[in-house]
Amino acid sequence: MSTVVVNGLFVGIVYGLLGVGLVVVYRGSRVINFAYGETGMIGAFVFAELRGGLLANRQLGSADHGLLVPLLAAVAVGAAVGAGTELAVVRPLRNASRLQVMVGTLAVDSLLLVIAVQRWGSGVQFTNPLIGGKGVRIAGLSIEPQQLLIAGCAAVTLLGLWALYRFTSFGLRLRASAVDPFAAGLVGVNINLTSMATWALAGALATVSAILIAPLGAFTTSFMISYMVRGLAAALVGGLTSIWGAFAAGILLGVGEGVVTFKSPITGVTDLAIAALILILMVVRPSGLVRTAY
Amino acid sequence: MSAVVPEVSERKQAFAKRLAIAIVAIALVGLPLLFSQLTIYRLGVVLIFVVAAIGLHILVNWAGELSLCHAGMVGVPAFVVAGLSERFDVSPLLLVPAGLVVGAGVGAIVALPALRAKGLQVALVTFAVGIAINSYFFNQSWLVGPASGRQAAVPSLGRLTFNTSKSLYPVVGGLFVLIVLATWGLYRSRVARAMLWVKADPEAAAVFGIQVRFYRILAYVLAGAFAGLSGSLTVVWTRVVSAQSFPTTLSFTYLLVVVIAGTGFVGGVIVIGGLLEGGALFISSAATWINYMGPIGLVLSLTANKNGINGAMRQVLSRFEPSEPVALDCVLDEMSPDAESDLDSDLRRRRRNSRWSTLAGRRG
Repeated sequence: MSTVVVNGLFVGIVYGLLGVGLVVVYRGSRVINFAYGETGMIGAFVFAELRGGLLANRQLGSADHGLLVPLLAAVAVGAAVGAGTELAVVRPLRNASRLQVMVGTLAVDSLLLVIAVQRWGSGVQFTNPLIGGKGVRIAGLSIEPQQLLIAGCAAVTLLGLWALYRFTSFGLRLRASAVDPFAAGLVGVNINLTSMATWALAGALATVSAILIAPLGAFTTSFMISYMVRGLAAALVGGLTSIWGAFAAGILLGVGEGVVTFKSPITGVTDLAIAALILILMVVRPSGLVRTAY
Repeated sequence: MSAVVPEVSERKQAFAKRLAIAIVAIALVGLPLLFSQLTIYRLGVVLIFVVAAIGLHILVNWAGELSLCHAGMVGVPAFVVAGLSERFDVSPLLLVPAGLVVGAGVGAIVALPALRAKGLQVALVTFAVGIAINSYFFNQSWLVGPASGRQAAVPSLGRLTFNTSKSLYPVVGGLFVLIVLATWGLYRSRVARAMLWVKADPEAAAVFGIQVRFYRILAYVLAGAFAGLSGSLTVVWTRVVSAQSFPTTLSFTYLLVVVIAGTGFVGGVIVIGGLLEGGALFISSAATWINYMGPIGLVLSLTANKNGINGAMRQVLSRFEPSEPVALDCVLDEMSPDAESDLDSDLRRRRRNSRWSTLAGRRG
């Protein structure tokens, strides 16, 4: 059981990261980015292709061309997709209802899926483990290298985001334009640039999350759809505004999912439970359990 | 207000309109019988797809609601009908009303949490429901049967048995025409007007005595009923349904069709649904490009052409209509939902322009 909880904890960290990315976008644009999962999927496939190569039958290869260059390239692609979404959908619809923008992100989601299926097909792909080697034992529990990588990436990402929002002038501009874009514009903040930076940042975050979670399940072009709903649930617990709230909720969700899956072998029961959680949250407390000011 | 007595020319126009509708309906049901079995089969698939899209069109473009679980709303009744037909060896054609009722029930269930939520929250609620239906219910063997799917009985009506697409097409085509005509009746009714009003301004609608909650629930129930019809007809047409027939992404495709179609009657839905679904089926070499076209069209529809294909069609048709001076009270009395929606978008544009000029003044 303790192994189940530990595994769930590390999966939950990735759910938390997904939730954090959704919160970053919502704080910046008041939009729920439905293309978030597919943005990460594109990044993860670019990473896998650059790392392992692409065979003639649209299958990813098993070669290992190193981690760093593919990772940086994939994160850049994810950021570019995020920035492109802002440019093509969010900016032209700045004065439209938020629901319309959200529908626009659904269009981007569909487009990314079509592009991915065209290039990589819809079958299950091979993925190399991100890192090899022996794990460590903590309190009698074995921690895999992949899990250590997840924890390290999450720590760097969260601390980086916290520092960005808290200590940099750019972070201040992001917060100002999130609170009142018009007033921020009046005092000289470049609204277009900050909005694009927010979406690019979220795209990069989505890519990192997708790369981390890809080896844990079936790696197909639609693999992010079910993870997206988990990220969404985590973000909702955080009231779509609290980075730490979303992250903590993601961890709880991962652990809970691990335990439920262990106890109940019924397929899809965790998805049902997560949907129920979202429904209850929306009915009882639509503003989330944890909210934060900007 | 006094009733307006139609003049002879108006009656002639109305007769010509009805004649044109009858000719189109007969052509839709009769002409495809000249083609091959495969072509007829594909056409049937397109018609059934459009029926489901009409349901979402009512929900989104008439009532201003949203659903990201429409594929689930089509799938659940389809499995119920297929299951009943398989188990009791009943013609799925006789179970179409049951599919309609199950669909309406699913719509009502989705409506309840959606009523508590607003705007973006509705999207999240329906998205979560869609994922739950797809991941849980479509993996339960008591609903979806074995992995190969459920096999319904051969469609029949009394002594008539429909073994081929060609023999079944007049029934499905006829049902499609009836569904479109019923939607037309609904579109000209108080129900559609009330929904459009609720969409445009729910508070104003409530002030004028419209039961906003009732019409919101009704929109979901109607969407579910159309989805149920589409699901049942899918069973009638294909006879085999499996969990893969209704993926989550299908809900996005339906939404894409209705957003590009825009507010109005179902013309835009038929055009876009036919282009996307029919294009992919009939021109397999162009399927990839058609898949690209949908999302791009949606973005363009949101950013550049806000009235959608229906708005564009109305603009084209209005050029052929004679412009005669009429009294304002007659205009208000006879105002169609199309005109109401145009009036609404015009008012919004004016309000936005005035807001922009205020902001520009502030900046200046």
